[in-house]
Amino acid sequence: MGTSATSVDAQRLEFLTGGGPITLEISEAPPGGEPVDATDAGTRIFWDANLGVPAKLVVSTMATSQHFRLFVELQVTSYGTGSMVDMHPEVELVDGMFDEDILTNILPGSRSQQGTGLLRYRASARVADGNSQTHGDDTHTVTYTLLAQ
Amino acid sequence: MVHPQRYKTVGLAAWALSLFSACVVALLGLSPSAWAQTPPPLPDAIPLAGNQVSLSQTVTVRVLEINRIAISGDVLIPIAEAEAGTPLSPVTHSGSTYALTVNGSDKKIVGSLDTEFPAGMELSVELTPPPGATATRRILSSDPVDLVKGVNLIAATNLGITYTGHADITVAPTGTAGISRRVTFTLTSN
Amino acid sequence: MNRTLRAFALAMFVALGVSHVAFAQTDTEGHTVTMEVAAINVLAITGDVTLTIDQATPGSDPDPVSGSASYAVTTNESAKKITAEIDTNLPANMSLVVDAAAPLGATGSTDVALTETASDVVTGMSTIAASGLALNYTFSATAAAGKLVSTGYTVTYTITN
Repeated sequence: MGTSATSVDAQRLEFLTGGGPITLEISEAPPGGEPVDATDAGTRIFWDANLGVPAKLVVSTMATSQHFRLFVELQVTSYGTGSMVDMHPEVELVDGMFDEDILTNILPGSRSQQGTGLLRYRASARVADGNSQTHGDDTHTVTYTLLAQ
Repeated sequence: MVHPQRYKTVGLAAWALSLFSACVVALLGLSPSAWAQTPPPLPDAIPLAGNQVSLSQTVTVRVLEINRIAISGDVLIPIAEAEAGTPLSPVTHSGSTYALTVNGSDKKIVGSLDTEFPAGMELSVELTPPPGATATRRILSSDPVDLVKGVNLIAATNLGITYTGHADITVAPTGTAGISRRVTFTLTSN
Repeated sequence: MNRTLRAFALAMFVALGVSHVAFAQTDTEGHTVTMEVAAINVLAITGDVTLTIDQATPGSDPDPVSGSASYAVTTNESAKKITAEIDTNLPANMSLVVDAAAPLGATGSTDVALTETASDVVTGMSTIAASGLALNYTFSATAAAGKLVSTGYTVTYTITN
């Protein structure tokens, strides 16, 4: 399982399914075309903002010697009553990046501050990027943080 | 790299400590110069009570070595002409193409026949090399021969395949069925 | 303990060895190439010939005259022959004959009279490409033939079975 911080003042952010290490393997390309992206959608998370103010979910990553591209998108699968949160387009995960929003406007309230979502990862590489036999794998520590907006 | 949210927390703590220190200085009449540090500026945004929770997951991206090649359709080479007094004229066919994807280095393309043509018949081939590679026209046989070398990090389509068919005078007419052979191209490490 | 340590070390070695393996791929594709060889029979004649009878020995028929041309032939078949014919028969008391040299392995002929009916001049040709083969013509006329104004005749050679 991935790392889960102990809840502080009843905020919660945890894995519902998956959360352990995953590997996205790019192994195919059509002749004459670029390699086909690899995807993974096996990780679900749960959040309970409980901050009393609008909250958001941000993502960042650390990866030494990154050669290939990695993206993540959060697809909300369930949400408490109240107005919908704002989902964000796919975020590219780049080593050393600043936090980027993947979910915003998690409004306070006993039901609206909670939700679940599916983390959809997408790995992409071009022929010019080479392969893992030359460069090694890219290993990311992807961190999601729930905080006040 | 310092996490920005954590920096805000550290900055707030340092500011609070410095403020407390300044208060002590003011109360005790101590010279500020006795203290080594000046208080940092107040952070722009303050997370409420520093409440945030984080979750981490290890995600590995692995790219396997990929070598793919595709060849266009079957080829017919009609040998039907000669100048009087000279052997049969060779015929060149340039309508075939190939496509390839290579995400590694120093690959080559070799070519071969499934079985030899009858005596007196000869098929040679020359491939248009992708950028950076080199090609050689070779006579095809059941033994693989190098056709293109030095293929690196490339995805290319519509690269030409030029065949030249030759039959000497001793080869009897084949009829419309002709004589067929399977030409195989293999993309592999050098 | 030692056994456990060795097992652990072996497991780690396997895991580390496998984790960064990127198996090289070889890809093979192909298609069918068909060579079709047609029956090929080509013949080329080089050199027009002009034959003029203008000499005679008193008391004899006019002297015949000769002239030469050549031919080239390519055939990838067996047991072929070459026939020759003229477009219009010569007038009475005149004749045009040809001697044809044969390519290797075939049989030529001598004094073949050229008429509107095709006659064999070379036989037994098989899978040959040859050039510079002689065609020697002889034109003759008796005194009774009279005068013949300059007339062009076309001699046609044909490769056939």
